[in-house]
Amino acid sequence: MVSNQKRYNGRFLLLFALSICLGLGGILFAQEQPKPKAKNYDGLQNEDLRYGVLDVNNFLRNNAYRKPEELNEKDLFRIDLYTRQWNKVRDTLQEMPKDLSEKVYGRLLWSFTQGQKPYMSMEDVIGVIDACPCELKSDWLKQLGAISKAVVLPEEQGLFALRLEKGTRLVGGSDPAKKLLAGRILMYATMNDFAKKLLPTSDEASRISDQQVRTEILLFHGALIEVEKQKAELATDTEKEWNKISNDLLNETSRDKQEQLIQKLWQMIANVPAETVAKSVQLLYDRQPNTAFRLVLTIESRVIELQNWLSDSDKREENVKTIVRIGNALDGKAPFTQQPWNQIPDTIATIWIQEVERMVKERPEYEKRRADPNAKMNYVLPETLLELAPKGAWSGVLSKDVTERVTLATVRAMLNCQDSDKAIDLILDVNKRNTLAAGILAQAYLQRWAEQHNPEIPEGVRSRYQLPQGSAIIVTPFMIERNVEGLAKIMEMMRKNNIVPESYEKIMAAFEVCYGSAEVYRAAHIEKVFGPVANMNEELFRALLRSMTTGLGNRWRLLATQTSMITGRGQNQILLMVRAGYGDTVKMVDEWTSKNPDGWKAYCTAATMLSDWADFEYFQELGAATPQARMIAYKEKNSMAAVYFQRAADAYARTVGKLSEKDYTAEVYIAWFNSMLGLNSNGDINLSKAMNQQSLIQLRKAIRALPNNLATAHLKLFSEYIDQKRVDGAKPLPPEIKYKFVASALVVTEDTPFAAKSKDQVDYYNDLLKEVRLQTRIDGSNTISRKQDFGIIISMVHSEAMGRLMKFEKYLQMKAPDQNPNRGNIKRMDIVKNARNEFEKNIYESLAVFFDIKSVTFSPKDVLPRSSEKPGWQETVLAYVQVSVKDASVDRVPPIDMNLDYFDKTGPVQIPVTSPETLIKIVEDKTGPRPHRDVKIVQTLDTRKLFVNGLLKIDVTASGSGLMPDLQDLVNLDVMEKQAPVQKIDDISKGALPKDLMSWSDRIEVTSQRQWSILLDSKPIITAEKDMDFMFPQPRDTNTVVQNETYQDAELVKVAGNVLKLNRSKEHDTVTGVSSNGTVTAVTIPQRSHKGLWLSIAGGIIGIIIIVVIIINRIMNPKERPLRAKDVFHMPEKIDPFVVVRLLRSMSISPLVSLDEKQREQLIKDIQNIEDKCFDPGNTGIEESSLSETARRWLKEVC
Amino acid sequence: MDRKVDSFVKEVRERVAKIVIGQDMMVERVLIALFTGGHLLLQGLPGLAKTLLVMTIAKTIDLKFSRIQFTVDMLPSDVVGSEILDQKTGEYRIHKGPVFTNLLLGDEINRAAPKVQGALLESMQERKVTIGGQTMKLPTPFLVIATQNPVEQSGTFELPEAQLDRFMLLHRLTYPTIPQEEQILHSQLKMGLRKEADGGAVPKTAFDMIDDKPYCSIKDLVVCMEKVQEVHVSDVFVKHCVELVDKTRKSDLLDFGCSPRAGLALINACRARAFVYGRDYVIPEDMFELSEDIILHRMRLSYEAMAEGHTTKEVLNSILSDIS
Repeated sequence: MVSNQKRYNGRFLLLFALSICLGLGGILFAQEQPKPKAKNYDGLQNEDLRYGVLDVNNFLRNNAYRKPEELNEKDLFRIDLYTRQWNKVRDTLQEMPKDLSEKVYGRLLWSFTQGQKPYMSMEDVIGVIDACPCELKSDWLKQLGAISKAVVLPEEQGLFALRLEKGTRLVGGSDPAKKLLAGRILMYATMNDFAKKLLPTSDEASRISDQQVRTEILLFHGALIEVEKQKAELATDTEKEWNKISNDLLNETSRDKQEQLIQKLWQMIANVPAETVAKSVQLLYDRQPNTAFRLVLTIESRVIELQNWLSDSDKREENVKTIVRIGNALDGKAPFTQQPWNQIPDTIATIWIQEVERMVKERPEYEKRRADPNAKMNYVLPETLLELAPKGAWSGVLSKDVTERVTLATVRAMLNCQDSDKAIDLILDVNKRNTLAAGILAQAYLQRWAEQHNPEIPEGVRSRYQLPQGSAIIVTPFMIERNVEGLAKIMEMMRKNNIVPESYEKIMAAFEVCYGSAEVYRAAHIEKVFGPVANMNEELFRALLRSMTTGLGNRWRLLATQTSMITGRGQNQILLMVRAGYGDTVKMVDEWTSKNPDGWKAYCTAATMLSDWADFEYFQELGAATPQARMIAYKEKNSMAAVYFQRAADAYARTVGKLSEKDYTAEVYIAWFNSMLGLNSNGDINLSKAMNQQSLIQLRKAIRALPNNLATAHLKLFSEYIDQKRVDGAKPLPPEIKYKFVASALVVTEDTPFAAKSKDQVDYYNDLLKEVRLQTRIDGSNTISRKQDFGIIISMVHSEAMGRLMKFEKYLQMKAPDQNPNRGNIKRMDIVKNARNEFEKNIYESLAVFFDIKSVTFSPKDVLPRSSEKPGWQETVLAYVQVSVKDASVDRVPPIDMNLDYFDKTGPVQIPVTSPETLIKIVEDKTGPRPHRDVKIVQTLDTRKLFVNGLLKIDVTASGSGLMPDLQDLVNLDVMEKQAPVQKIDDISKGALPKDLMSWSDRIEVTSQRQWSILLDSKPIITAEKDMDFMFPQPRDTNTVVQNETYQDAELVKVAGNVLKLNRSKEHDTVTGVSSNGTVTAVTIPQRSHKGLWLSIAGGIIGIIIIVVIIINRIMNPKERPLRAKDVFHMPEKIDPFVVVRLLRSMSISPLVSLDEKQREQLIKDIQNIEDKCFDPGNTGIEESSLSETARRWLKEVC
Repeated sequence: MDRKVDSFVKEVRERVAKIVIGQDMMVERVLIALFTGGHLLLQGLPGLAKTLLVMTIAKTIDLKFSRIQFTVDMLPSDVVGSEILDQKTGEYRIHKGPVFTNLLLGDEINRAAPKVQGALLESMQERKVTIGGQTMKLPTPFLVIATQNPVEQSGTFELPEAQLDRFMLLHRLTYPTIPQEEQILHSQLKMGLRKEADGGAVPKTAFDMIDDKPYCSIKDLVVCMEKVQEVHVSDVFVKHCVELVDKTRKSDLLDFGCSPRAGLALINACRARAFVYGRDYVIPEDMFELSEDIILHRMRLSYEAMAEGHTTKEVLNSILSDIS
């Protein structure tokens, strides 16, 4: 026993020692652990934490999307504060040292009472109260009272008081101390009636130890008694009168007199408290049930009448109370199941229902204006109505339909309360009996939910603070997640209970609200809220698609939207987000249609969206992209759109047989057609979409392929749309698209009788074009040499009448643009500034494929029409295009397009005209020169550098009408052969340079100029021993006017005749032959100077010195050491077969490695060995250590 | 069948070697493209026997063969075909373009305007063509072997990166070596004349030497394709393949790296190469040999890298040597 005890004690001591060690170790360990860095909130107690709407938004704008690492503790606290995370605010305050937290909380309350009214709701005020990190102090209660007074609206005061009465974390509830705090807040908020309920009575207050509190409460009671006395005095007069008449009525037996008394009461009802009325009715029923019945009916009628026009919410509330309390007062007394009393409960309930309906109708309007001090509430608060809802036994005898209506009205009232979730149980209950009604209520519930989560700042607040339209509070990613979570729960509940809302648009509205207006919906969220895409109801899916399409087309892509919602996204991020949105939408469509292959509406919406996407990709200004990349994306999306339209048409064709005639629709075909013409669903118009015959035929085939001869009906619908759009005065088509629109429609409808009007219009346009034609012709012969420049004359041939009507000058002058090419929502891919710019672009587009266009010369803007060969017709020359063919295969001038402005009954319209082709013949041989005349040639002999560097040249300039031909066609150069042979002819102007286009004479001519520089061999002149005559080249055509010139020093002088005497002299200023008319017959050329020679020698010596210096430098600084194998090959960090093979292989081919034959063989063998063993699945591989060894061995060998 | 398949590669190589000298690498790339169903772009100057080689292979395997010489004034309908109005009957009929074939040689694709390139590349991607609203599948196998001149040549429209990515391989051709060139000239000297039916004669060219009798059929090709699918790719190989692609994306010298399509193409091509060399598993050699043809055209140098004089090949080599 003793030994056991000893052993026990020993064990105990051991354990004790061990625990001491552990404890000490723990302490030491704890001491060694780095302490978490203390958060630094210093200075927060001095910061301005105001809560005005601008304060909140400004802070969040700058900080909400900053990177977390850039934010300090104080920033995080303020983010919590301004995103209304009151629990987090409280937690943070509690984390701070006590002293600091009290100072910060005090600072918060002080800030909230400064500057603008705090941008808070009633719930926020409760959050602020509960965020207090310690006991609430008297000063704080006063500030909380002031905040409550500013924030809580009069109609919310009852609810606010109720919340405080029920109790929050720090105030109210059953604890007397907390109740006192709640009462004091209400007292300081001057919500006297409600404060009175929570504050202790005067007697109780007199026992409060805190003198200040005691005095305040006693004073409050005293003041209240005084006020109530005054009120009572005012009320008693009418009430006394009512009581007197009621007493008279009790004792009156004469029916006539009873009626007179009832009439008197009738007039007073509106000014007598409900309790008084109910009591009177109760007393009367006890004594005279029949009279009481008549009085109740009278009161009901009066209330119904009053409620029809009363706008004062208090009076309306009192009336409803009167009528409901009469029902309650007679409950259990009056025989409500028997005639005639059985109609009373239904009437009472109906009055209540009507009041609920009024509230539902008026409340949204009032909510919008509630911040306006002039706005008055004209309905009874939903919370009050719920208190007054039929409850007693009398409500049990209501007729069946009224009972149902009461239930529905109750739900509606609940939905309008702050806590609308309570309505869910009732909706589920209604759903068991009436699914349709449940659907409507569910929709109302969603609408209410959306209202509660709507980030838009109410109109009143917005206008008060002069914020821009559509201003909203920031929807942070956290809020989005929370909203989505909430909505997902509601939708899940609806799905589980098979509640189908009346319209899915409301659901989408709620979903939009979740996101704010700047966020593209995410696929994961969509699935969370609406369930798997493939299982979505068609109507819902379409609503979702529409919402996505509208968002992508009109909102999310706009930088302004992103900026106003302070998302912090840059342009590239917006671009990526929008692209992802479009991509996700297409994927959703694919997913949904995989299960609903006949969902033509979904296909159609997707196709329309793809068409919008194509234009977005081309015109977007968010991210940089080359025109080519834009075009690729544009075409890709348009091709996809065409595929989806075809699928939509096919799906519609499959379902149309099941539709009744009134449900036939051309929606798919119209959307397809509009997409082809660039009329986008978001209102944007892309003018650059050409009329695509092939696609139009595809559309036509799709309509014609409809089964059971339904094509005619649909063509009719399609034609009706075209007619309506064609003459739509409210939103007319742009002039550029009108013709294309009608002409394209005709390709689809062909000669259907329904398209007669469109056909008439196109015929009218075509008739116009019979009187005006665009034409091209060649200047001169149509046989053209392969390398020759020639001119194409472009002109309008028109009747005299059309010549007067059409204004051609706009195509000829570069005036300021008539209109912005990308005006509003109208866009075009090419930047066309004005009509001439467009005309020029058309010329280049048509001709550049086959010709090198050298120049385009336009007629002057005041060009007059010339008479034409055809009587009554005229020609207006527009342009002269100087071209040369690209290759010998060109055989025609292709058609050129032009848009003619016209005005028809629907307004301005642009009609496209096209020139016919003009045939030409290209020959390899040289043909004669192109037409030219009145040529003037100026030849300038330049001898200035003859004895400097031997340069001798003649500059020749030819000008005249027509395109100036080649030099050899103009002058004979043979004469140069003996005196100074031609070395080189340089065509300085690279062909003729047209200047003006003239069409007023009998010919159409372009004036042009051309310049050459002829380099001559100067040897014969330099080596000549004596002076010599220089003869200028002679013109081939005797009509050509020639002017010869030369330089005398720097002066340009005319030469008399064709010959110039070149005098040689060692002196600089020698005599020159000058004739009487100022022209020269001879010039003196100074002899060669040796100055150049000496300069050359000096330059050569300097060059040699430089080379020597470079060579010495090279010798002194030898090149870097060459690379060696060990610089290149290293042991890999990680060893696997791939890496080792790479290393060995590199060794095998590296020039740095020198291996003998045997080594090389071994290396290749090793590589093959690893490859066979490690990559062939049939082998087991090689150990890493072995691989490592191989690598190391070879490294050793080669390095 | 098996015997044929086993000797398939050998036979094709031998037949081509008889006609085309010094382009064994190009034959290998064509075979890889054929076995994997990918498309091949050959870059090099004219006169390197591209057409001759492709035609020889087409005849050896009994494939339908078409050739398009791209020019600047071609229209998309010249490639895919068009709808034509028959003036006698007043009806439209479809005229199928040269794209309806098994083996299409597109010569100088970068001479064509972007819309024509787009039409061809679209049909390569989709393997179907829409003409006059009618969509038609292209025959299988459908392989495009396009050639392009070096892009800096004038009168060319550079294929954008997104479209280059459609080509599984871009092989850069080089001139034959001097002995090979001597051999080419010697063989030409021995060809002689071809007598025509009208009594005249023309000098024979290498095209006349092509054996018209096919050695194997499309069925044999399909069997080869199946065999390629069975080639084993080890995990370590896949890992390094992914590493290679990833490094192209992370390189500071590149504006953008390779898409996952590049990784897929690399693995597939390596399998085909392994098959060509008679192996049923891939080895690192395959990757090193093919990476230039598969990766290089999918990378773009950054502006700074270009300014510093780097080249994509140099960047790729550096990435390959960094694989660890």
